[in-house]
Amino acid sequence: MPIIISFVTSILNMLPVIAIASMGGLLIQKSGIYNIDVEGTMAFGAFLGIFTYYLFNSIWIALLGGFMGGMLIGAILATLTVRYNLDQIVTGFGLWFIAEGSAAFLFVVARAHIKDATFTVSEGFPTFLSINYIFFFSLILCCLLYFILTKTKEGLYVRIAGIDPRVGDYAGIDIFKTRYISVIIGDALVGLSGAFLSVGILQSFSYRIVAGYGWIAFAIILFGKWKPSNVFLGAIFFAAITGIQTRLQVSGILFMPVQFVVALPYIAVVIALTIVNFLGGDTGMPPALGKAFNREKL
Amino acid sequence: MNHLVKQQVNDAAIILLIIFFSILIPLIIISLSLNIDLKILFSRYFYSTIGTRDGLTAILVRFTPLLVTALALTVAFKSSVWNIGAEGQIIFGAIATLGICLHLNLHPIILILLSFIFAFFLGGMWGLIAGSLKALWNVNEIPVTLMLNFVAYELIRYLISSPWKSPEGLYPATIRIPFETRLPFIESPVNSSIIIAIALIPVIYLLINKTSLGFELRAVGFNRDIAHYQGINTKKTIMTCMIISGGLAALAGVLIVLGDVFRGEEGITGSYGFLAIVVVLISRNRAELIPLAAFLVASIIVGAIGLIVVGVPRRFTEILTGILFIAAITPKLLEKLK
Repeated sequence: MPIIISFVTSILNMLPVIAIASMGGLLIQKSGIYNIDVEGTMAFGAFLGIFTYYLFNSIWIALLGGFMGGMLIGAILATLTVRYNLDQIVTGFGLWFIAEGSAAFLFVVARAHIKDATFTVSEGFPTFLSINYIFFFSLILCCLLYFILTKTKEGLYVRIAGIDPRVGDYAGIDIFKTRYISVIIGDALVGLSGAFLSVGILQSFSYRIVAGYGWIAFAIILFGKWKPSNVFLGAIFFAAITGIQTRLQVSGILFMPVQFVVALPYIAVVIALTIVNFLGGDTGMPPALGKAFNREKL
Repeated sequence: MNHLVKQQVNDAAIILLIIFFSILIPLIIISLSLNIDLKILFSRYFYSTIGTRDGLTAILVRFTPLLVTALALTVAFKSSVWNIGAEGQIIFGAIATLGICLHLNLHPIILILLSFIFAFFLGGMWGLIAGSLKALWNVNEIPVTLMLNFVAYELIRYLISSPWKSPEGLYPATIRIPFETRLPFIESPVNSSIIIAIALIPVIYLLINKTSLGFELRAVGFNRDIAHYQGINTKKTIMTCMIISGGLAALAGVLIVLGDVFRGEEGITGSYGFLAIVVVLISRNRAELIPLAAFLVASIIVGAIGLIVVGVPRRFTEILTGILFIAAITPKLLEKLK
């Protein structure tokens, strides 16, 4: 029994990384913008988390640092895609590389210039029943996102921006502002999750610290049919699978290659999308996702 | 006629200028923050890539798979099928080549031919997943191709760590393919794979512009519904399109293994799958410009890698690649601002 409890708590402590990033990405995609930069933004947030911790010696300010780092990337993404209507996929790739490269690059520079720092975190996050506070934050975030998206006026604006921005524009909604805010807050959340990864879980920084978690978060948004509750459950599901796989691997009785488990979220997305479309259902994909909205063009 | 030429020169000039400044400014930042002399950075980046023999051969080595992948993407993009799964398709080409060359004991030329055929098949099938999902059930191909990349990454990671792992060496990789199966060199690192790549240019150009399949591709790309009403079997066209695109990208993987890397290792795709998107975008949908754009992109990458020697951290290459992505699509921005 204690084994199961410790297993569950370790999953729940690991979960916020994927869950918060998924929530942030969900917000961005609901407004109609692809967040292909997710992996890079997470790395950027991870670096800023560690660096801010070094500067201020506080885990909470470190999280804030990651949040603001994500905001910066989000601001660039928003400007390029919303204001200038550049292709979202290519811009996403560009920002992914820039952000991830900058994170590693700045880390090298920081290590070169600041000789006495170790850039590790020695304190943990406060817990309740040995479950991280941040887990509860991610749970609240999920509920908040659901509430905002379905029950508030601003959430409606976000959804319209993702479904048919032209109609929203005719109705007098400021699509640009809506998308800007969604992208910036969404990417800020991704940065926050990266900071939690480096400061809360791994308690250090290294290149490839993100190791695909950003893309798993991206896949989970699709797998969860762009609904906050599904996405959160999907994040728990994949965190559990990863946890099981790690334990099996450690104890030596893993019966399938570890790479298969890593690939599982992506395979699951393709299968899920196929089945839903095959059955004629609604994938939940925002129809305007990926399409540029230009007010001047008729 | 004169006006058209002037327009093209204008476009080319704008692109080159944007790229030039988007490299120069980071170089200036690097120079200031790391205390490296800007003149050294500048000369190292621009001169030693095109000016030296080693630099030129390095560019050509990268140019080859990049060109093939860009041609593969052109086929897809002409049909408005946004194939961002080229990375995965390249990997399947590499897997096919490694599977054949490392495990079969036949005459080398047969092995090479089999590699090409098997690679085209695997890459085509991998591309067909997204193609058929789009054609039959209208599944958006962007997430599908993107996700399948990561599945392919894990597959090759598994193969090089477990069943095909080489006993020597520190990091996971396969053993090298036998000497006889490697494509003959023309001038040290540059080998005959470049001939194959360049030979594909007219093939693809003819395919897209002079065949009925090419016409159908372009018609579906223009407007799928109109093409359908015209009597074109759009489902077949889209699926065929992805088979060709995936197969071609896989051929790039063959060329990488047979001509450059000679084995399977982590990062074998060298991001060519994503860089090819930039190449196609720079070429502004004109197939003739693709070789030039591929050469340009290859030079930029080689230049960035060359900076490592003078003390720039290697992660800078990644940042520069990212800036290149955005720089390649900004000309559209300038048109808007006019």
